[in-house]
Amino acid sequence: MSDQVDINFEAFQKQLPELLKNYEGKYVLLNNSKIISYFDTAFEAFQKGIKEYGEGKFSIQEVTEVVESLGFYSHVGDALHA
Amino acid sequence: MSVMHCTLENNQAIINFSATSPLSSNESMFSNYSNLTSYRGLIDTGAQRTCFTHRVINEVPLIRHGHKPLKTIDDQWISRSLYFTSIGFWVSSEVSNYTNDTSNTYFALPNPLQVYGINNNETFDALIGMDILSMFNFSFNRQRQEFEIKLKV
Repeated sequence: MSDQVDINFEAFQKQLPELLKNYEGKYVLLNNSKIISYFDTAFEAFQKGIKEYGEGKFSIQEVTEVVESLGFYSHVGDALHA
Repeated sequence: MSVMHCTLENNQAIINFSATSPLSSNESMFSNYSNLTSYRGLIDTGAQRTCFTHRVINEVPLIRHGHKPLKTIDDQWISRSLYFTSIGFWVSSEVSNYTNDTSNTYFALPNPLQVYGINNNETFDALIGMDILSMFNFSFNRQRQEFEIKLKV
C-alpha cells in the first residue's frame, strides 16, 4: 500500500515543471496529493507537517531540478541498489 | 579547540556518531551523553549529502518525509527517501595540537539535517557527506594516522 510520501511524490512530479517557474528553491508541504503551503526551509515545513497532520501523514518536497550525487562509494558499492 | 578524531581502517576514515529524531532531541550542543548508541560513519567527500543505512533509520527511529530523484553512474534514475535527524559526534578538547582531554564530550550539530536512506552493509552505518564536513576544518594527521575535524566553537 502506498503511503503519503509515495502518493504525494507522484503528484509533485507532475506539477514540478509548473512549480519551477515561481517556487524554485522553496520546500512544499503536501498532504493527500495536494500542496498545502511553501516554506524557505525543509525543517520549517517538517515542523508544520508534524503539527498539522502528525507523523507519516504528510510529505515535503524541494522545488528543484538539481540532481545530487551520493559519491563514488554509493555508485561502486551496493548502497543504492536494492 | 574541540576535535573529532576519525580512525583510519583499510584506508577508510571512520568516525563515531550518534543520531536522534529531531522531535525528541532537546540536548544542548555540548553534553555528556553516555546512553546514546554509537554508529560508524565513513567520511565521504564525494557525497553531497549524508546517508544513513536503514539499520540506523529503524533503530533511532526516523520518520520518512520525502523523496529525491538521483542519477546513478550508469545514468539510471532512482529515487531515495529522505529523513530528518539530529546528529552528533564525540569530541576531545585540544590545545596547541596536544589532546589534553579525552572525556569524549558529545557535540550535537545545532540544526537537524535531511539524510538519505541507503542499504545496510558491513563496513559502515552512514556516509558522512559534505553537508556536514563543509561546516568544519578537517585534515589528515600523518603522524597519528587520523583524520581530524576541528570545531571552532
